[in-house]
Amino acid sequence: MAAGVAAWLPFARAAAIGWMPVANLPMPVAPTNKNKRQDELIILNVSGRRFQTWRNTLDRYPDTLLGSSEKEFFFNEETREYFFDRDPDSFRSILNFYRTGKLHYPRYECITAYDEELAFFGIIPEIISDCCYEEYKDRKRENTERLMDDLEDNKDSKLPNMTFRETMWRAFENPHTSTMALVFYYVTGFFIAISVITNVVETVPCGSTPNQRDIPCGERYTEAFFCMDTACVMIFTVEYLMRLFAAPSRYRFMRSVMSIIDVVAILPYYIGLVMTNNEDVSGAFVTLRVFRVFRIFKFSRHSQGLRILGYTLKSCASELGFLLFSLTMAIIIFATVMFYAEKGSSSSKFTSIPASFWYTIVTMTTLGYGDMVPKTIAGKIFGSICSLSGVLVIALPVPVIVSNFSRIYHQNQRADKRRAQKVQKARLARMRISKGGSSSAFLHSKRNGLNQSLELTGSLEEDQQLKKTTSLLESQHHHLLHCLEKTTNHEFVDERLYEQGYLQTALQNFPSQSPSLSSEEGITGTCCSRRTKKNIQALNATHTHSHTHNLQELSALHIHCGEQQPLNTSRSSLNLMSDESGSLNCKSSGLVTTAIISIPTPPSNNSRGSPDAPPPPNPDAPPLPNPGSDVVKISAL
Amino acid sequence: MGAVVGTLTMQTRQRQPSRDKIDDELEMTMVCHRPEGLEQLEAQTNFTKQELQVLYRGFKNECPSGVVNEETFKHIYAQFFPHGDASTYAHYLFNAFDTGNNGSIKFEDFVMGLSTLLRGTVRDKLEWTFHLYDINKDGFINKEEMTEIVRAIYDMMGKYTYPALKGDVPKQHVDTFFEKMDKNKDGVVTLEEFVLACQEDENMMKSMQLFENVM
Repeated sequence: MAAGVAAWLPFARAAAIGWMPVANLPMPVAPTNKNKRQDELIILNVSGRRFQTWRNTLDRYPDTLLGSSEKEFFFNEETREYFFDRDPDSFRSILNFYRTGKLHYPRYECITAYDEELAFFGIIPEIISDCCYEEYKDRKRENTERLMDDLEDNKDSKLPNMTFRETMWRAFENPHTSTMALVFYYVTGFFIAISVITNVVETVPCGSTPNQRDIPCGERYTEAFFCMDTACVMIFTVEYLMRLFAAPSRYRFMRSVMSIIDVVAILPYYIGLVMTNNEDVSGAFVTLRVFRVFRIFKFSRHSQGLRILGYTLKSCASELGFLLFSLTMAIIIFATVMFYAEKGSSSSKFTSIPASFWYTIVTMTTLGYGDMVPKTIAGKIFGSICSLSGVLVIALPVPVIVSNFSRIYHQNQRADKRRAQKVQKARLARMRISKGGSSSAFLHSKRNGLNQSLELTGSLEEDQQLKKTTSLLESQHHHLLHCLEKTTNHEFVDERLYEQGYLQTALQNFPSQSPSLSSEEGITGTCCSRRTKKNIQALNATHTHSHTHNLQELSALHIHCGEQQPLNTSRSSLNLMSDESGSLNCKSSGLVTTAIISIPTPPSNNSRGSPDAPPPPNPDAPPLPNPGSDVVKISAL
Repeated sequence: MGAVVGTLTMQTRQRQPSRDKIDDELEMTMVCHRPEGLEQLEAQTNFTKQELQVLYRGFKNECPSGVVNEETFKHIYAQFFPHGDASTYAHYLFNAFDTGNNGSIKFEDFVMGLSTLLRGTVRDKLEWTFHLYDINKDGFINKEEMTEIVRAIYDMMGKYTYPALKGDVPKQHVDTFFEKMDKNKDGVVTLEEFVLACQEDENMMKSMQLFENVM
């Protein structure tokens, strides 16, 4: 029950008078306010700053420090105030929680300090209200990640039990761990650069031989370049093999992008070695050499930015796709238009629509080489429209890609937001539990027999004894729910027991053969209810004769399980199985097995099974004629 | 694609301000209501000053504007019955408290109703209950009205009850009680019949006294 509406409880209880005229059963006695104090102001002195509030405000949450008797430990007799040696700024939010029912997280507050305050005052952070919850969780996550990073940095000192393989892998992944790793890192980087430069320089024309033709350096100094290439490939191969050896999961390593790049970089060389100098395949061989340029991608191991760029492009696939799609559409449209516009002019370069594609692309990207220009007026008009629209179409997706890049860059610094989703689900589950806590609290207290003690004729000693466990507010609320049960002559049970009960009713449908005796005790059955406490609740049985019969039947069972049944147990051990079940009242039974007792005189037509407890002494009257709810008893052994 | 979506949303946003203006006007008309003085209320009801103070503090906490509308009322009442659906019964309760029939309960209405319920005579309470049951306020309770109320009460129990609610339990429940109350069997229950029937019922009388010391 939310704190804010605690003040309306008197109203809800008063409104219960509306149920009285149609109530099936008499109402239980209300819990009385034994120590009926006037609501008083209490002073909370938190490190010198005094807060004042009503005592009732604090009593709203009895399972926190301020709401329970734990605060008495902090009571200062001389000054008649409660003194807490804590941070007064955080205390403000905590006190506001009592006042408004919502816990807020102030942004200026440090997350660990706030957590500590909450823990001290016994408040779980999950109830932070939605307006502040996301901020709280984000800060918390950042904090834990920072702590974890710090831990990892400290962990870099070599662990004694690492195998050679693991050491190697760590050296490869974090070059800063040891000097050897650093050396290796720089050497490979150097050779990648060498290899790339070699590939480039190979094609530069290098001086001419006497036969007036500039030949590229690669053909002039073939052996030198070949040696260089071989050396680089050697290094790369060795590196790849070492990584393969050191990898914790070879299969995963081989599938990773970097290793594929490595393989692609060194493969052409080996293929070239294997292939003979056959003229037919030399064309293919030349093509393969193109792949040597992929060696430059090996640099991405050395550069974080490159990796992020690659990841960005991968994640912007949809935007890139949109860009491509819209460009294609525009190209086709304009190429068609230009072709038909220029069809008339003579010696036009726009020989076909695909030929116009080139013009359109060059114009839309505002390159404008000038190798193809429209000559007709219509062509020129459409050409200008084409170039204007080109600017717009290309300019649109670019900011999206840019923002994606910056987002991913920042995301790279913070861990998965997906983990936050899981935590959100857990939080919602917990909130549901605490909200359902009010309903389950009622069932819980029923089990503890709280309500049984609140009968119309009341027994004060048990009253007092049990009152201590719940606050007055709670007991009043439970009394209200109990009145509702009495009005309708049905009980609240939790879901599990409901299913169980339902199943069992399906199991037996006793057709009734006995003549049904009318219940003449009057509508408010007063018979035999209060004579003994050992009366067994004939649940919804409408006839007293069967009632006495049940008594006999079940009293036998009562002996079985009777030793530890305190007289005030709740009426059905159904409730014993509620989720928050503490100790079972009936120690003997685990309430797993049930036995069906057939009562030879089932009351009337539609009988219905009801799991019944080891007989609970329910001092309430055997119920009124409640048409439509008849019971065949089952007792648990 | 993003651009297309962007332009569409821009168009729809332009239509919103007109609706917002109407809402703003409504806001201005819902002024804060302040109750009459403490002394007057004390004179009109059977509560002491302290009790009125406590009541008002709780009232104001939930409804800072000084009036409860039906939604808030239902929401508050539903907090007490987490198992089932309290909205129907809350609706009838709201109508019973809202004596002025203007769709909102002021503090005065609230406190008057409570005064009758908690500190009134038995006759007053019974009258109040009669008015609660008389949904269409025609001075008679017919079977349908009573069934409505009882159905609303059963709704508050929710689904998970023991024994399980099978068949039309509210209707059967009502059948019994209606027979009892409708003395002259004319199909409706008048106030006198109602009062008489309730006074005959000992247990009910006792239950009525139960809530005396709620405050």
